[in-house]
Amino acid sequence: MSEKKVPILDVRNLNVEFKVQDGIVKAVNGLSFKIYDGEIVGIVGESGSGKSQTMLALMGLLASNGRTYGSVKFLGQELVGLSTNKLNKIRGNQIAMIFQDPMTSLNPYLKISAQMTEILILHKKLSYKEALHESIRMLERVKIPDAKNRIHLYPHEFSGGMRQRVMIAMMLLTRPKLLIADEPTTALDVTVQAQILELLKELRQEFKMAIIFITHDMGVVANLCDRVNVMYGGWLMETASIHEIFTNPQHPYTKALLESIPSIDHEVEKLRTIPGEPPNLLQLPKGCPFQARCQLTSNNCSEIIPLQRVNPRHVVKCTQELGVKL
Amino acid sequence: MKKILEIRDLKIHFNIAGGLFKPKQTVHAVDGINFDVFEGETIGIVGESGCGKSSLARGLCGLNKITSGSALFNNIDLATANSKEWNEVHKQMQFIFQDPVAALDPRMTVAEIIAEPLETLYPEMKKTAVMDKVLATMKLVGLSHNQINRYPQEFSGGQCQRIGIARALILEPKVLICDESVSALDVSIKAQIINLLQELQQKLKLTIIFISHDLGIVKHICNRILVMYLGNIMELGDKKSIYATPLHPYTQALLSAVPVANPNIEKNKQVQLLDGDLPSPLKPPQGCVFNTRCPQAIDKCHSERPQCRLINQHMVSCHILN
Amino acid sequence: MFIKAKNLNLETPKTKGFWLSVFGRLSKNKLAMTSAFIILALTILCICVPIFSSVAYDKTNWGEIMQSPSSGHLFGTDSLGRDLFVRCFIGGRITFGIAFAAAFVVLLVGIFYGAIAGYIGGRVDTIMMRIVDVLYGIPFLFFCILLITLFGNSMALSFIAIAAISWLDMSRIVRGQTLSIKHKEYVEAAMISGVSNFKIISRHVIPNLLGVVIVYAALTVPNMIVLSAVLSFFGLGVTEPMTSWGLLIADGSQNMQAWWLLLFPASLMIITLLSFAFLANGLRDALDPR
Repeated sequence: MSEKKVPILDVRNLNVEFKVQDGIVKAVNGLSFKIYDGEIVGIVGESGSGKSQTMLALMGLLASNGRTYGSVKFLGQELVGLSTNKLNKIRGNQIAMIFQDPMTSLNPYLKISAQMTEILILHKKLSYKEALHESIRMLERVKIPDAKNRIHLYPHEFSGGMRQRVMIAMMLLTRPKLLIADEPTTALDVTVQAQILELLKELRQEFKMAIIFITHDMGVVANLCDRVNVMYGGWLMETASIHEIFTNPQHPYTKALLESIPSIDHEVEKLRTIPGEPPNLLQLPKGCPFQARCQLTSNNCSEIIPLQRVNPRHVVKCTQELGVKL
Repeated sequence: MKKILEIRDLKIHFNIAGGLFKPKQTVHAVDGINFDVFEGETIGIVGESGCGKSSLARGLCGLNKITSGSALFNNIDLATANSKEWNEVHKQMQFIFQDPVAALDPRMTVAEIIAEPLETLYPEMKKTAVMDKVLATMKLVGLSHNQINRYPQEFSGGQCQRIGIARALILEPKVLICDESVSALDVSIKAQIINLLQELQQKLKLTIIFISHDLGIVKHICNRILVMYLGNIMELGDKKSIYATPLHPYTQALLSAVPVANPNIEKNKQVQLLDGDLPSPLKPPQGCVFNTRCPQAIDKCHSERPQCRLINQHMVSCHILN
Repeated sequence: MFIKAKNLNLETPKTKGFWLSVFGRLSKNKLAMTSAFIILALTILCICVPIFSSVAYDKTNWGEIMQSPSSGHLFGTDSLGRDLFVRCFIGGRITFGIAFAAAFVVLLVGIFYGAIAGYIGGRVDTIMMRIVDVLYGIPFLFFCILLITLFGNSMALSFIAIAAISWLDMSRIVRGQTLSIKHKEYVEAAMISGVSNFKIISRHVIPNLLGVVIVYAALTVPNMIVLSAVLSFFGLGVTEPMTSWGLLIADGSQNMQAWWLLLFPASLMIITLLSFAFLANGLRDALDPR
């Protein structure tokens, strides 16, 4: 992927805040990243790292007490501050989103056929018959057996994995340029997760879309993604290609995170732990949010943290010199 | 090694009450399993949701009724134990829950929560002695003593899990059952709790029954692995050999489906994709329960349920292996 | 195996318990606090006014029949020349007394009945709840009239009638709450610790459903007030010369030209009912801050 291409999504200095009773929760702080055509970008982080709020913010789906600052450009069009009407034309059409629990976006009282054809009739102005035909084809594409008959079932008549497939099929109907997947496999069993990951990889090729995949599972990232953004305390700590992040991680948080995961491919005597707890987003420290738990912390960590480039697409937000051993 | 728990043909079924027009249905959560747990080991029970691993764990500590079979613990058969015998079992075998926050009564202080099992099962103990023990146990799990009068909602998930572990350990049990005890925690906190459990096991010579769907964690802390599917044991064996040479087709598929945090392995590996989903435990398939998804199923698999056999030091229930 | 803690004089900061923080939030709600203050003031007045007043509530004065409010008789006098101010508060005493007592019985019976039915479940639950359903079927007024014809008209009877009917709702609410709490993991943890069923109910289940119950109780008291007023309006329960708000309102509504006879007892009752409603609202918000 060359630098000259126009990114599909260009996020610059995105901030998300929530007003709550006890003050202001700074969920996302100064986030900038780009997504190019056909890429699968993983966003990893623990709960409270801001990974889900980032996506909700750029879809304009924040809770009513949330505020977004900064710029999000989708194919050159600014999304922040766009009216709901115009936003509706983009989301669900050019940007699609799937969630951890498909039932949150499927209407339990409507048959799948009704929900799928509605989208096509609305966005593509198809007739019901054409829409139904197209919907069945899409269900077949996501490998739902006997799609012709099963399209007339209700959501609860599908199993968890099948429901997620239905959801994906529904989102692909409008041929979106960008698919945002928020922990879509977390609630699924590993064997079903493997099926869905495999499916997403195939679909990416076929539909030529970019995917943002939010997860906390480093294994899934390694399986699926081309590039990773590591988030912590609302900050983007490190962004790199999948190969770089696992073989040459630079940020102390990334390194510690990778070593604290027990894996089935190698064995360690004792897991490495990150001491302490994630920061309170109501009272983020000045400077780096990881400084209290970091082994290499220094006085500079409470100042402005520089961006350091390992290579053009591997950027680290840390005061430490690159290549320091933990 | 000494057997501490002997499970023979154990079944746990749940009845779903029928309605006026609906017949009564039975969920076959655990459907006739045999295995032993040895003193001082960590045995991992893995499987997908609905495989019966949690029902089994809850059955062993009295939260689910055992339908038939036996589970012998300290000469007490858990299937037929009376309430007095159960109290003896509770002293020896404790449980750690999945959701650390929901497992603590929000209206009680940390001291009250941790002291409750001791006060209940050893009513003759003096108040000061109980308090001493509460403080000692808190220290053991890495909680500071000045937190005893706080309420659970003031703690993070990781600390709540430490409180839950302290409550279980205050009785000095021999066996600890961990039902997905670290699944709800964040990665960095998860590692802290796993290390704590390992330290405690060494220090207190605990036997741990560790239930999890995370095969990475199970590999890290267990000595032996038991693979369950739809209420049946598929494979049971030593950790090293289960992960290196899984014999049962289900174990093979399960292990190959686990994503590894290493892109070089991930990009080159062949995932054995299983078709479809877990069948309903309301009507488990005839014959081998895995036959609906098994890529190697033969005729015999559809008619006859395989027995657990010893093959290459693994207990495997499969017809196609020799 | 365990290290003994050497000394117990440790620094153990005690944090605000649940109820303290609820009270903290409640005290920030001005409307609820004002309501609570009004309720308290009315209660004190009901106790004190009849004691310290110079005229007795049943003292008839033929020279001062149907006087409009004046400095001598703040609320005026009735058709027998009795002072309405004193009568209002002696009536309040009866009304409040019956309402609080009935609410107390409702709480006690409703909580235990509902918690036991919900916690034990199964057949016990079915039988206990069917009994509630049957009692629900009895019409309230019919039940009261039946009681009175059988045992004669008395205040105790109206109290019994109100309490006997009103705990049904409470027991249903408590049962529902218990069902959800029963499956919480902390209750299961207590089971594994060998805690007896009775102790689980009293230590874990009831404290955790008190929040909902208190809100409901604050809504129950005004209900009781209205019920006792309805009974006395029909002449059941309290008898002359003793009075209650219901009786006073009934009297007043028959003498519409003497407006004060209706206005004062009715306003007192409305103020009380509104205060309880606002307090219940405030409590609900304080118990569930989100």
